[in-house]
Amino acid sequence: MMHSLTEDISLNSFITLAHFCDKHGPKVIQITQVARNNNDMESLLLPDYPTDSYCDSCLIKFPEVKDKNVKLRSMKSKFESTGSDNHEDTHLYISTQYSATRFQLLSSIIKKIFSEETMLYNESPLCFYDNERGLNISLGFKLQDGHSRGNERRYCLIFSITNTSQKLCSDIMNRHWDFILTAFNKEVSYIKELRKKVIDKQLNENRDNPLISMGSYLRGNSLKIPKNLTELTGDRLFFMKLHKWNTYMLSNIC
Amino acid sequence: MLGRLFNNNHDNKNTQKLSPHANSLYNNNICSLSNPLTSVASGSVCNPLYLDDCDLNTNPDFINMNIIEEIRSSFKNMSDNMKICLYGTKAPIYSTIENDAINSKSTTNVGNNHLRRVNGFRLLIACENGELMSRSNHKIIFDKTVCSSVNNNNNNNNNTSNTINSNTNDNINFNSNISKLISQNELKEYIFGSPVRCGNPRSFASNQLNCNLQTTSNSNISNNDDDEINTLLLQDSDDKLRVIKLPGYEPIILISRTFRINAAQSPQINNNGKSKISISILVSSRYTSSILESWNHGILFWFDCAQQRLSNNINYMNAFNNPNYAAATTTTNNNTNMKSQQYIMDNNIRILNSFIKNFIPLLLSYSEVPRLFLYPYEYKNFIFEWFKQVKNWLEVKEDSSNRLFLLISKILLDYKDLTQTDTYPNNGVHKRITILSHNNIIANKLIFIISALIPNRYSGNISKILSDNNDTSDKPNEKNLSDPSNVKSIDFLKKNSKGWDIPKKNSTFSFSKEQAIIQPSTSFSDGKSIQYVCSSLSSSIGSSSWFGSPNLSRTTSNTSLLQFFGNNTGIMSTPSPSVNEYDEYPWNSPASTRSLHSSFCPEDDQYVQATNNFNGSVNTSNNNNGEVKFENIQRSSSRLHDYKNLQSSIDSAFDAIILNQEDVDIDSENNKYFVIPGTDTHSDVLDVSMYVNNNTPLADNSKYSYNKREIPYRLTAYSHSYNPNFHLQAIPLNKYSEQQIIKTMKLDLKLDSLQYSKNRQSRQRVKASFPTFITSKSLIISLPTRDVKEFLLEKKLTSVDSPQHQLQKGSIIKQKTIKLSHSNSKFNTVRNQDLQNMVNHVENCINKGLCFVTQYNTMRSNDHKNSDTVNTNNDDKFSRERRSYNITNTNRNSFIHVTPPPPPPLPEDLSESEMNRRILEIFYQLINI
Repeated sequence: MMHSLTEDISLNSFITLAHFCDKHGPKVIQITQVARNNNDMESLLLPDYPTDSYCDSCLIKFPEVKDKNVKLRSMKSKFESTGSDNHEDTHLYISTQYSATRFQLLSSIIKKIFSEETMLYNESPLCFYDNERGLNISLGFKLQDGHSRGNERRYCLIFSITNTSQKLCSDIMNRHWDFILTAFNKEVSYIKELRKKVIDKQLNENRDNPLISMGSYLRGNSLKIPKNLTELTGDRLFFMKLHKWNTYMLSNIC
Repeated sequence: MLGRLFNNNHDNKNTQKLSPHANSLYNNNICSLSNPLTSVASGSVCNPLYLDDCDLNTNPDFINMNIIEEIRSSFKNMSDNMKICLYGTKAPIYSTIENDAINSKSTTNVGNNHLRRVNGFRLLIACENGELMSRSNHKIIFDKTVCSSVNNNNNNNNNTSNTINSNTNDNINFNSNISKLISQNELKEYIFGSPVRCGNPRSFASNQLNCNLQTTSNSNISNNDDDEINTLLLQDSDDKLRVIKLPGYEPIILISRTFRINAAQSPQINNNGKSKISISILVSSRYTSSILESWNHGILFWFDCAQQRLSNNINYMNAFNNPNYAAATTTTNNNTNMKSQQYIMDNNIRILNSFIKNFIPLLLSYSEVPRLFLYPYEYKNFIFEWFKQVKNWLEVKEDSSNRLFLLISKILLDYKDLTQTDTYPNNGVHKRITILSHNNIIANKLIFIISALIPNRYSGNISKILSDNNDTSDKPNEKNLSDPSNVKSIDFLKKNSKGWDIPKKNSTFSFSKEQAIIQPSTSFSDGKSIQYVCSSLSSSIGSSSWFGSPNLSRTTSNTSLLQFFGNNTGIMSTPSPSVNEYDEYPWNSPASTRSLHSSFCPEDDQYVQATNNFNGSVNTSNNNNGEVKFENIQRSSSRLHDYKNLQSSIDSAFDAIILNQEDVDIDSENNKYFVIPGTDTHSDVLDVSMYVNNNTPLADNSKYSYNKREIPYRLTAYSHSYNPNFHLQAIPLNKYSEQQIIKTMKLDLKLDSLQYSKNRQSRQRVKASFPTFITSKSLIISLPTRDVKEFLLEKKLTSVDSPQHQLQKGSIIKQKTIKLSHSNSKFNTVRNQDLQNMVNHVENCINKGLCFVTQYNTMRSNDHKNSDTVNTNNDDKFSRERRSYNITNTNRNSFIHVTPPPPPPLPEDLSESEMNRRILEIFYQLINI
């Protein structure tokens, strides 16, 4: 019973980074899902898709490889226990740009968060449950960027668990509420810190240039340039780190 | 527009008549809806008077109440040692946690102490008409704020060391009422969300709901059975919890349930199915943990009931506006109009009433009632103390019938998994143990004995949750000891330190500490307060035996003791124990008579001192000699202060995973990350190895797994009213107590079947298997009547494969009361061989443990004799003690006819840890670990 329950939790939980794009509205940037075994994993790994259809701010960026023929579309992790540790996690964790198996569900979730709810981006949590979307715990945040609408970009981290009973969901919420929020908060403050460093650096570089300034009131639309999170944070491994952190979170909850 | 349906100002021009069924509703007493599931302190809360001025206008109203005070009063008169033993700390237990994920984040800039407290519980019912362009798109039907008046009395409470205090005391002036902090306009944004949005996806459930309601909407009007909840209706709703941060104040939690009004349900207000009604509740974020915990155990049910009630309103109005229905009725217009208003108003008042009577007490009981702290078995000398308490109980409370063995056996057999209902899945089994007693001291001692049998102990590291000021608080206060008046108190202690005795003589002595005035305890206001104070006094003084704390100064700080001594007189004005006290206090037995006798003669120095040494507590020189010195843990009523551990483990994981991430080049040789080439089904995959610095695996449990916050199980000690949410508790015995328990058990079955039927009807794939039966069991131990009995209710659910996905209406199919022990000292174990075997096993193990403890103490006393010249006659006393023990032991053996083999004598040089290991072994044997 307990085993199937754990499976139930892990297979139905996932963590999403979503973004409200200036051009495209609510978009998923990265989703980390759990697979039981290699067969399950196959269905979560993505085939090649044209990245051109995504603007820079909606796109997940994998670490670069020299071989231009390599088309990275997924990341996967596995904990490999060495030694006497009995914490054996055999699950596989896969991060992708979108979910092939939960496409509609995911778009329904982020649509609700970004457009139906009155979303706060001050890192105060929103949690909702319904039969369609299951349990979702989300934390919104924004990053300063002069090239975006309103000079800020809005993001949201979401932990979801679907397809299980409300009872189980509320049990998860009760046990892991503090963990999920603390781990999200940790991540968000780190991202903001990185962003602040980048901004400070740019300000320093452009100090002597009167033509370049950060942000401007009533700027024309033509200057709204999509920017990727790797660029905003100045960290080319950003999505890999996020994947690893999501893996850590899911492995501890499931 | 829609709001008018719920408003008492509703002006209905239609001329219809009520059905006779609906008519009968008017006579219903509004208070009768109290729900035993959540009713904690119904006595003080349900004041029918407030209903008079409870007009349903849109202005917030304030209703004072004293629930918190009532819960607190149950924990007065508890000795410090009892607190340590049951709750892990003798410091006051506050009701809230300052430190959690929400509050810690909100206080990064502002110190937590400077955040203003938010007071009150706000209930808000609002509807949205779905007219996006209209200014009157939203309508507030109902907005009430309920405030607790307790905080105003905080200053008074500070003078007494209650177990529970309200949070910090210095910020009373900054308290702010929740009704003023956030406006209705702002709230409706949070509740209904952005006005511009696409429609919600229509679920299968809601389509089904449409069909169903078309056929049943009219019949619903006459079917005003409050117990019936249309589970189909509940499918089409969503629940939301959000945190709203306000500058300078504690964050606020908004919980809301929103459901759609269907066209079929109300054609008059049809806005393409976009009309929504929401029931929302606002509370301070202090209650987050309670909300999360009680979500499944009451809150959802409350929302279900409220939703049902609002739906009834709509259906009712529907019928009024339906011409066919109108033609079939014949009452006069005015009468009908009045009645329709009355019906809707009644329903709204019922929701408010149920909010006050059920919802708030539910929330408070989760946050305010201190839960037992289950020490790990390995913790210091915990098991030693347990055996000592069992020994005391056997001597003072038992006769030859050995009810305690029977009780322990029964619990080990059937109630060990008492706490499983807290966790999911519970397999449809609910279990509770309730002690009925007039005496909180006795009941709490038994609670301690029972709680040790529950194997789900605290599994974290205790040293991480210890209070910082342990060292200072546990040191004997030198100043006090040097004070002559305290020396007297030590004498008094020495003479009266037998555990649960009642002093016979009035002793004369004084205290140098501040004097307190006798305050009658509100919890015992039935005229017997002196009696309780008396027994609590005796226990307080003797409480040094309870975990054997060597700290003398602690005794003087005891609340009940201080309360007891009259101002400036210094004379203990204890009356002799009343006859009633004897009735419950020790059960008549040879052993207890002997104990009583000796305790009633404080001059019997030898016996008393022997007992002192057995309990190893009074003599301060024992302090460093391996005696138990339990430290105070940091906790609130319902949580342990382990948030910082969680935070630090997350921090260290973050350092390892993110911050120490090298700036790798995927293409380089010897790289941990590599590319898995794509296949037909997928493109190339980056394998992100979860190894960081020095090949440390991330999965290493010790380093990267987070310290789970442990939620203490809902077990509590003596309280003055029954709380159905707690699995172990003690309450006063009265003629309603058993009724209350059975009522709760029935509700268990009802709630569970509702839950399962909801799950089944939902189209979602629910993997957890359904049980065939729902069972609710209660073990009731009545100390005054000396009964141990078990109630059992069982209900069958239709099988999952059944084409009819409906709950069987047949309700309870099995109802049993098993009397395990009667007042005439006979067991019902004859037919139950398992129980009989278990009783034998328990008796063997406990006897073994007791012999071991006695030997150990003898050995210890010999050491003391050598080292401490004051206690000259220790040897004699202990041999006397041992003799008396052996006598009772022989008596007991007459029951099982098995003489336990005497344990081998202990070697002289047995180390402390070895002792603990051995006694632990015996205990594990007892509980079959």
